[in-house]
Amino acid sequence: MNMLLEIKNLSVSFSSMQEKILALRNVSFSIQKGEIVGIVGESGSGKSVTALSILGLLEKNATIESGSIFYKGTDLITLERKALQSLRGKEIGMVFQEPMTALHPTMRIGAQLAEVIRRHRRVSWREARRLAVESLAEVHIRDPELVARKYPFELSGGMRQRVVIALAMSSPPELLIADEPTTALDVTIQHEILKLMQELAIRRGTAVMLITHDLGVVSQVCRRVVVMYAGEVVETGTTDEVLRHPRHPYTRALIGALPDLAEPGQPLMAIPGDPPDLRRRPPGCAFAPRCSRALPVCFEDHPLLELAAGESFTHYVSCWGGKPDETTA
Amino acid sequence: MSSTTTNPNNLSTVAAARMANPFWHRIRRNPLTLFGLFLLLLIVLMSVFAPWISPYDPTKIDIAGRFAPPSAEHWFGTDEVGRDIFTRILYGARLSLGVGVAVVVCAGLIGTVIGAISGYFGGKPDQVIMRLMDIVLAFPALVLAMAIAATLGPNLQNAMIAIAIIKIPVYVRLARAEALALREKLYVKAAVTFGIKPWRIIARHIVPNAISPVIIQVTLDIGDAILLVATLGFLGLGAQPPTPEWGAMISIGWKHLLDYWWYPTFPGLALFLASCGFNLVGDGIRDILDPRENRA
Amino acid sequence: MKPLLELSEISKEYRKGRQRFQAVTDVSFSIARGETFGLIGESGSGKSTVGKMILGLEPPTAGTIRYDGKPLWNGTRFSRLRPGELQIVFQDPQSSLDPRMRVEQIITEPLLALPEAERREKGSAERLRQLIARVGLKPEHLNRFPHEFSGGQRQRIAIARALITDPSFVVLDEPTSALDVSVQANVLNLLQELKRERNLTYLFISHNMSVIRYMCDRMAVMQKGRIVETGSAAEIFARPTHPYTRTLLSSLPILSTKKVDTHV
Repeated sequence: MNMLLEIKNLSVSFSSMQEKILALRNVSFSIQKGEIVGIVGESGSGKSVTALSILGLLEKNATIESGSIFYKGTDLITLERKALQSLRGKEIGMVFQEPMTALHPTMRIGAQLAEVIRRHRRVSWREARRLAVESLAEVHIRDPELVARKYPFELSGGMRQRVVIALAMSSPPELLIADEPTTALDVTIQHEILKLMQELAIRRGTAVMLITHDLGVVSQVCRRVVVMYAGEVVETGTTDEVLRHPRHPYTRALIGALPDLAEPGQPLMAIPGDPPDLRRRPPGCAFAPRCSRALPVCFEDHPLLELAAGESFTHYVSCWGGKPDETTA
Repeated sequence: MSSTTTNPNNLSTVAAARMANPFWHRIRRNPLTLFGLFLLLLIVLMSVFAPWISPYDPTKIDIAGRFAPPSAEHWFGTDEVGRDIFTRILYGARLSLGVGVAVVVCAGLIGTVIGAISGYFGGKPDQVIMRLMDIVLAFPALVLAMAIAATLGPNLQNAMIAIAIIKIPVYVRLARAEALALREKLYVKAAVTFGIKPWRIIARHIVPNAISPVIIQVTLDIGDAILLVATLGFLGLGAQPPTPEWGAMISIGWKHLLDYWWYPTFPGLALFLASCGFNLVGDGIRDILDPRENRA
Repeated sequence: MKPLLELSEISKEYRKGRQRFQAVTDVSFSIARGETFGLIGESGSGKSTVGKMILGLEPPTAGTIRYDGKPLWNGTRFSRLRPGELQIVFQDPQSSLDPRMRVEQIITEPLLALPEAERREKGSAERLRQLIARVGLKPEHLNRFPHEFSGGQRQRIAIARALITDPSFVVLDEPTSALDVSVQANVLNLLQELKRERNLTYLFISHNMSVIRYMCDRMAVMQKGRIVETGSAAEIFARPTHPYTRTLLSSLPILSTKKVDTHV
């Protein structure tokens, strides 16, 4: 069985004093062993909530309304805290956007790494420290012995993120969840960190769930991509097919909004309307109010995630497939 | 420059869920604060409706009925010249409350302005002002207040001036700390680039945004000010007879503690409850406002 | 043609006691009227410091900055040009709008620096109404507070604020870096339209190469306080000469799909 993670119809809501907000609605996708999947979306898309749900790190006011998260056949939602906790870190690693929050500020790098290594393997302190230095070298840190003796604040952002990756990959995990791991870094470093993650994933056979808002990042390292909007999956498939032949109007608009591909002087493709208000979900498709090709049915009924027309067996889209519009600009 | 988070939309799922609970809901959850509020309400009502609650004149002397114990006629008894103590406590509430609020609000305003200016401009003037404040703070509050009040002459106005003086440094420090942080904010820098004059920037941006901690401090300080006025009154440096002031009443009454227990006890109780009330409410407000400040 | 803004060998050194930090060294470039000039660099490149010096927030320790031929700095004194001539749009969520002020006050604030007559003329209710409509806001928004708006809307407020004094030159410091891609598209489109309509000149500071490539006519690349390459944007992107520029461009995760299908 090649399936590592399978999320089925996951719906999550947040409750505050005034109301209940549905953050995730019927989210379904899967990740195979060793594959790098990108989860793409903007604010309110629910991509981070998805990651937190898998890790069991949702806030207290969050409720999993329905659905399941199958990891190697076991539904993580039904797992008790202790079991989930041991799964986290050992089999599921995490890398978040801000490396400083993942590192102990007053503990040396080498010691932090060694501690984590010892938690997963029965080795002596000395051996653990040696392995720690090794893992620093693996993430392409020069002078790993020197860095091992430093404190987090003495390192640059890029180096800290490498350390966090080393920490996350120390078990090594079967699944690495990375939520915007390079967003806070300089562009030149971003590129290196992504390449590093890709390399480690391939070498260790670790699957990666890469959450990002950046389609460029996705096109660089992800084999498959899941596009989310307003807490729903609107399109998924291989990176190639989704980016080359996007079927969902939102995906198309997202690509069209990128300055990367635009001609200077030509206006960018702008999505009319406002970002989704999760408190007021329309009964039909969440994107319908802003869609230039919306049909009446789009406002009433929610489209299902189905195989897109064509030859692909991997390209799914959630759209009633509106009429072609001449003025799609 | 690194880009920040990708959730600028104020309706991002996590933020929307963490929408702050309404103010009252928070207060309701903290019984102590509620109790403090109740005490304050009591005192305010007492002071506002004093003439209607009690039929007596607080300064009317009745030598024959002096030192009368608490009874149906005189709920808290009478003092050494026969004045009804309950009435004097009611009118004393007016005084204490009025003085406390006036002094602290004045000190707060003056201190905030000085602190905001000092913090915004920085440099040598800032250093000079801060050292001046340090000097004032170096003295034990009461000792300094006593010294100032005694120098100026023992009456209520001077007592108020003395207390205001010793309270000002705290506000200067508070406002200055806020000003130091605020002047780095982009909206302040933007205002500088527009060409707006510094005094205007301080008035429009610095002071309004520095107000929060000042308000908390004011509520706490009122309780303290009430105690200080009473202390000075107790020492004969504040309100002079026949003004009904709790401290002055205790000052005379404590000598008779064993014989006529009601005389010092009730004013003392009033003082305790008033100051307690302000402190509890101040704490409560601080607790409520603080977590909000950490909103992501 | 005389350049509108001219920097000649600008340097900025920060000193704290014994420590010295050279933020900017010998930076020179000029911007012509009607141009969009891009300043690109990563963190620590000094690009924001250059922006601060142009705006009057920090005095340069060496060199001159001229606007329309007149020097902006006289030692550490900033001689403000006609107030409102030069305006700024900052990166948003980082506190560029006073949370305690209503939108109307925020937008009209720059008028306070203008002389009385001009203030009254530019601050008329009609002009304000037209301005907010132009940037995509509604009249009812004027009475609200910044926290009630999304990032994109806040940036529109900031743009309106920058335009109320009828500036000729606008400094845009990472104006879209904190915005979602789709929102960024809206804001960039708006900036382009406004530039054409009002004959503006832009200095666009950013670390985002794709945005700079799209928006700018000419640009300068900064690294560690120095300019390593200057020229037309098209030229630099097509044929970068400096190694650092090459590194920057090669690490740009450009969508590898050349012909992306965005139509039916």
